[in-house]
Amino acid sequence: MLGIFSISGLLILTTSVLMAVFMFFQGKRWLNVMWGTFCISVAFWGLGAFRIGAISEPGQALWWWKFAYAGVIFIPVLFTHFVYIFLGISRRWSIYLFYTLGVFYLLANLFTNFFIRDVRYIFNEFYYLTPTPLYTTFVVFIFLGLVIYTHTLLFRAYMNSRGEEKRRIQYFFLATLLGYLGGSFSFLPVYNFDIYPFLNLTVALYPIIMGYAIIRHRLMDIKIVLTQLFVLVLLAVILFQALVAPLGSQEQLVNVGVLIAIITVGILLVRSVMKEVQQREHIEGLYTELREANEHLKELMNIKTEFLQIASHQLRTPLTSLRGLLEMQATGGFDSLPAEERRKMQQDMFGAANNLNNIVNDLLDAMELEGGKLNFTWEQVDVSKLIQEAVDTLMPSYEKKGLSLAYNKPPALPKVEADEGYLRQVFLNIINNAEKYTEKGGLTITTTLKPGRIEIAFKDTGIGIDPEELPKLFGKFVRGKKSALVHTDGSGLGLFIIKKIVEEHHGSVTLESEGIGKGTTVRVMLPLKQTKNNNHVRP
Amino acid sequence: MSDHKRTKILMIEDNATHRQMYGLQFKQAGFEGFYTASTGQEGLDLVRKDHPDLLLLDIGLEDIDGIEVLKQLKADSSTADIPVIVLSNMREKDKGEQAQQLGAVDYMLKAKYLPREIVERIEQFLTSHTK
Repeated sequence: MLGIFSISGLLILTTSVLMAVFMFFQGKRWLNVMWGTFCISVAFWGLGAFRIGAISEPGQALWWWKFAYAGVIFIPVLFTHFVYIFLGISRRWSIYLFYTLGVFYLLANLFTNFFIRDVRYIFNEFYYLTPTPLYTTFVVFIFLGLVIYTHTLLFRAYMNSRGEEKRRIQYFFLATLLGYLGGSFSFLPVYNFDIYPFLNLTVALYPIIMGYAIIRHRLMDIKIVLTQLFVLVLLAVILFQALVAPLGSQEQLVNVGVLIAIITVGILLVRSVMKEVQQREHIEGLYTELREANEHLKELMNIKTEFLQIASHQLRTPLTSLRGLLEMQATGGFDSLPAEERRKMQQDMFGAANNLNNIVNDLLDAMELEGGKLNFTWEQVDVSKLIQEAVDTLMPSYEKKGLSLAYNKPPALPKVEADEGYLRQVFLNIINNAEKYTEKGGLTITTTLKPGRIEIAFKDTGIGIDPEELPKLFGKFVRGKKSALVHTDGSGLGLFIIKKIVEEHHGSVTLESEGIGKGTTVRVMLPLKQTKNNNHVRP
Repeated sequence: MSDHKRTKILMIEDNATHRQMYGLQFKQAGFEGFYTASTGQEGLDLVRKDHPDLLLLDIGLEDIDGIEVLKQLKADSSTADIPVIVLSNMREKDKGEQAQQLGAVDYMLKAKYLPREIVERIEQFLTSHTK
C-alpha cells in the first residue's frame, strides 16, 4: 500500500509532467521553456519519491535517491535562471557558474558515492538517505543559498513593481512558499530530524500555481487560487484515507463516498470559479477598451481645442481684412485715396481672399488625409517630368524675388507607381515653401535613383530651422518660430499634408537643417512600386 | 470727435494689411495721432518713448506675445497707467480673460467688428474715459 510520501511523489510527478507539457505547448517564449524545464526537474523528484516510498530494499532505494537528486540538483539552478529571465537580469557569468556547479553535483551523484552514499530505514515505511559532506554543501550553498538569493531579487522587484506585475510576483511567492517550504521538510529526516515529510504534498501544487502565474498573470486574485488549493488538498487527504483504510471496510466505503462527493462538489466549485474568472476577464477587457476609448476621446478633444485655437485665428485674420476692406470700399472709404494706394488696398483684398482660399484648401486636405479615406489613382508617373512642371510653374515667383531655382535632372529615371495629382501637390508645396522662406540664393533639386526607390532632395539656402524644432514640424498647425516671423499667413499644415501624402505612397520625408540661417533640405523617398507589404522606405 | 484729434493711439499689430486698414479708418475718423508698430519689441520701445493715450494690442505677435507685452507694461510704473485695449482674433476664452485680468480695459475680437465699428467703440471709450 502506498504511503503519504509515495502518494505525494505521484502527485508531484503528475502535476509537474502535465505542467511541463503545457508550458512547452504555450509557445517558445524563454519564460515558458524555462518553467517547463524546471517542472521536469521537479518531476524527477516526484518519480523518485513515489518509488522510494514504496521500496523495501536499501540498494534499490539508494538507486532511486540518486535518480531523484538528478532532478533536485537542478531545481534551484533552473529557478534562478527563470527568475533572471523574468526580471530581465543579465548576469551570464553567474548562470554559467550555477549550471557548472549543477553539472558537478550531478556527476558526483551519478558516478561517485561522495554525494549520496547510504540510506536508513525510518518511519517503519521506507529508506531515507543519509548526508555526506558534499551533499551538505549542496543543501547549504546551492539549495538554500540560491533560494534566498532568488527570493531577495523577487522581493526587491516586488517592492518596485505595480499592478499586474506586482500580482504576478505575489503568485510566485505563494508558489515558492508551498514548494520550497513543503519540499524543505523532506531535508529534515536526512539530518535525523525524523518528522514525516507530509508537506511534500504541497510541492505538487507548486508548478501549477507558477505556470498559472506565468501564463494568466492578470486573471484572478489569490483568494480564488486558495479556494482551488483547498479543494485539491481536501481531495488528497480523503484519497489518502481511502487508500490507507482496510480494504473493503466500512471506513473505506465511507471515504470513497466522501471522495466522490468532494469530487462532484469540487468540479462544480472549480467550474463556478472558472466562470467567475471568465466574467472578470471580460469585465477587465471591457474596462481596458473603455479606458482606451476614453484616452482616444481625450486626444480628439485636445485636437479639437487645438484646431479651434489655431484654425479660428488663421481663418479670421484674412476674413477680417477682406470684410473690413470691402466695407470701407463700399462706403467710399477709398475715394479720397490716390489711385496707387487704392490699387494697393485692392491687392490686399485679393491677397486676403487668396490666403483664405489656401488655408481652407489646406484644412480640407488635412482633414481628408487624416480621415484616411483617400481615393488614390495609382499609375506610372514620370517624377522628373512632374518636378520640371512644378519648377516651371513656380519659376516666376522665384525670379520675382531674384532667387535661383535649379533642377539637376538625371539622364533617365524609371517611372514611379504613384498618384500624379497628389505627388504634384507635394512638389509644388515644397518648392513654394522654399521660396517663402528664402531671401538669398535659391533652391536646388536633385533626384537620385537608389535600389527600389527614388530620392528627391530639395536643398534651399533659406532661413533654416532650429534643430530643436525639427522633430515637431510635421505636426498639424505647427510652424517654426523663425518661419512665422518671415511668413505670417502660413496655415501650419503644409508639412503635415506633404508627410501624409508621401506616407500614403509608402515613402518617407525628412527635414534636415544645420540651424537658423543655414538653409533646409527636404528629402523625399518614394518606392518605385507599391506592393501590399510595402513598408515605409527610410533614407 | 474733434476732441480726439490729438489723442495718441498706438496699435501693435503684426499683420501689414490690418495695420494699413485700421490706420486708414482711424485717420479718416480724424485720429491724426494714430500710429503703428509691427512687433512687440518695437511697440514696447514706442510706448516707453511716447507714452501714448491708448494702446491697441494684438496678441499673436511673433517676437513677444501680446500677453507678455501687457505684463511688461503693467509691471512698469511709468507705463502701467496707459489704457490697453486688446484687439485680436484669438478666442476670447483663451486670451481675453487673461488679458483683462492683467489689466486690459477691453478685449475685442477683430473678426466681429468692422474697422468702422472698432473706431466707434474706441471713441466711446475715450469719451467716457476723459470725462
